[in-house]
Amino acid sequence: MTAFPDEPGLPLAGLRILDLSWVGVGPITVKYLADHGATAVRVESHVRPDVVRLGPPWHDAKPGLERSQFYADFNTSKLGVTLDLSKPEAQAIARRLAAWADVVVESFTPRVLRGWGLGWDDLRAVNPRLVMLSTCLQGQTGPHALHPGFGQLMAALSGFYEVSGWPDRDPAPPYGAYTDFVVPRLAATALLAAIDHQRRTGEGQYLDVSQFEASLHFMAPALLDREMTGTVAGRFGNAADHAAPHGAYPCAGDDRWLAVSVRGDAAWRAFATVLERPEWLADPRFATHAARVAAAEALDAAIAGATRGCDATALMAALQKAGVAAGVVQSALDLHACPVLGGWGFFEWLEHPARPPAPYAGHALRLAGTPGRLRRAAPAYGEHNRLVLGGILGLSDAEIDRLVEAKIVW
Amino acid sequence: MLDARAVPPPLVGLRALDLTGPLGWLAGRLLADLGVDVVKVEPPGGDPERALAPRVRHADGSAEGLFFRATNGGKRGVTLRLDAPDAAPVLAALVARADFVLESFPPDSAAAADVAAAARAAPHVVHTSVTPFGDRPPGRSLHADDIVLQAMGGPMYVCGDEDRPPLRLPFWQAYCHAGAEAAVGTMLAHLARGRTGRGQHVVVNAQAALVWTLMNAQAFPVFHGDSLRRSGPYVGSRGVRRRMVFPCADGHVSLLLMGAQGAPSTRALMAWMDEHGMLPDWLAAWPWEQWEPGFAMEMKPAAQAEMIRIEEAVAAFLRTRTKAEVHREGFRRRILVAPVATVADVAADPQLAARAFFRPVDDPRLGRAVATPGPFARLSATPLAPPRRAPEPGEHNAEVYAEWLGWDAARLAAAARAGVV
Repeated sequence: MTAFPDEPGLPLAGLRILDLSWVGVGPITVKYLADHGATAVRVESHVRPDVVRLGPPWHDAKPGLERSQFYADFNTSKLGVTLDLSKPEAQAIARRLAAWADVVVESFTPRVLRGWGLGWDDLRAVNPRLVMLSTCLQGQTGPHALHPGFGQLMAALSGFYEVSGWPDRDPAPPYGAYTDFVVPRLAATALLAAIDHQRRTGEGQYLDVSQFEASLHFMAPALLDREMTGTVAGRFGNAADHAAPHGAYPCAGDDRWLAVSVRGDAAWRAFATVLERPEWLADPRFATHAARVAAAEALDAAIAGATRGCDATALMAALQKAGVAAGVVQSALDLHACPVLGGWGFFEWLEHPARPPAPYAGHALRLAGTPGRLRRAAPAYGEHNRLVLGGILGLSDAEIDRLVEAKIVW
Repeated sequence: MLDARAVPPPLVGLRALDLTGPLGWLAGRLLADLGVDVVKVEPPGGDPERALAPRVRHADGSAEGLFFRATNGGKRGVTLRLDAPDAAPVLAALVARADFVLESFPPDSAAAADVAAAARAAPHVVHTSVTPFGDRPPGRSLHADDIVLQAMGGPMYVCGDEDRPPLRLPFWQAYCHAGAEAAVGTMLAHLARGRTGRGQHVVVNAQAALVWTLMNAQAFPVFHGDSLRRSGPYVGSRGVRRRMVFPCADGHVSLLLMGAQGAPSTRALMAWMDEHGMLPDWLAAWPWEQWEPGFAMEMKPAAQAEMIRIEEAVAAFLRTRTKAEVHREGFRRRILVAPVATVADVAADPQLAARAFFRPVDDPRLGRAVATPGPFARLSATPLAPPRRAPEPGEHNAEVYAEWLGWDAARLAAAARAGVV
């Protein structure tokens, strides 16, 4: 097999990861490391496809296991291997990969991997210095450890849905599996610390990341408020008391809005001046920050009347120039044309033989000295079977052919 | 419990100088949990953002902001007036003693330039800048706070009711994402330093971090020509929607009503409805395995009409059940359903209790322990530090200036007289 692709300039070059995870949290956690140079072998199977491979958006708007940008965005820079882990011979191959790896990440319901002989005790027996991270909805122990489900349900269970929306309406939850995008940031932080410990001491360990527990760190102020004052947070729209006005105000066009946060008297004067409403500055209802917070409803109505005819982008620019925090409420379509994200270089176009070129979501962090990058588009099913099984494990082409024929590599 | 062993967390022995405001607070908190000695630097009198809501009013009349408390636990607190004439050498000395320097000053500000200069003079330091929109034009000069980031990053557009303005998700979610992303970046640079011995500058872009909360929604317009839209308790786009949240007897529940791969869950729900005589005849033989109504952007009008009819039948049943029942039966029957929990429900959750997630943190002002969210990950060999309270401004001036800079009491007093500390 050809030489193994390692890129020594990248900060995690040389780190080896066996990625047995699927859906959101595990794959995104590993993606941080793969895009920064780690060699990550992502194991999948046709028997039990990753649900995000089945999810939209699809290239040319047609469903298909190789057409999902949902999957593609989460799995850049990884090597794709297919193994039907329900078969003992595939389990043995996975154990050999775990012996090769520094790190194993998995996100099955607890018990599944143990049943396949791929649990923590099995894998540390073949690799005593292994770092293994398991993440499931509610953690590996406890009465609800086996709770199945997706991040939408976790976002409801951990309190985010209840506090999102208007006080007089049903909850209006955040889009999608919100906690799937909270947890990877915490999981990757913990995983990198464990890898650092492994490198310094040679000691491996097991990480149990409960998506419930990790997510609650983003609800901590509300949890402390209940604990300390008895207040059970409800829904309160965009209300706030650190800024007034504070909210989204209608602008010209179809569903165009500008978010504004005005803190303090100087910003308020600048805001009224940009909107050419000197009468607001003379209005006793709006004379102080405390008065503006108390009169938020009247203030919001007055501002909506003033912004309704304005171009959102132009008003944002004028307010920003005057020192006021303001930003267009951007749709997904807007994001792809956003000059601010463009300046950061957020979207990166990647090509892959199985899919037409597409803009992939880039990173929100950048290491100035040794930046990561989206090294490769996400792999097609089994794209790197020969590279990994031959190049890493030393299997012959004939042996790999046999495994493919037997649907062990499948 | 994995965490009960008396062994240190993984990053004990490392030091962080934390100069951040709310945009970066969580980064230092996570490092402190990992064992780093995190020293939070505030101006004399304290960071004015300590007051961000929600707040608790103490017996002495003072108000304590709970976002600050949650994201600064486990740090030590010192004061330093960065714009004092004699502050620069103190800042440089602190930076030189640190392994990590965290800050969230506006990229164009003098303070950002001062920290960058000090960090450049200490090449071992990992210097992480948490910014609203990155360090490149035009974003580097823009002003933001939490709601503006949620707007510019995209999540706000898809949150709220269609007949009202878009909504931000409360409790400083944008700041939390930025801070946690900064922890990842800081750790990546720390691992790189393990190989090279050299630190580097890490820049975090909060707007981009928010884009990463959109799941698959950010890519829809590229392939399907339109964006998803906010639709209250539904997920939807123009003209089509699927219900995510259903009222129940004592609040709300969230249900994934799926066919195909989700068919076993939906069948289990139908069986539960049937036990209560609430499964309509026309639903009894529904072909869930073959049912693919299409995602929000793709549903045909006939499928939408069918979806609404099914949702109404399910809603009628769920209205008769309580959150606790849904939680218990959903788990037992393996239905993809969960209660829309309040923070009171979370505090009483049996799974969290079984894993002893909430940990007592003594609070001298309350005269009691405060149940505080515990480890964000359970590490078997190097468990995280337990949660601790946040420092008062300058609470650790004497010990930190002594340990980090070797100052004695006279030197500290002189710095205080000069208005630096």
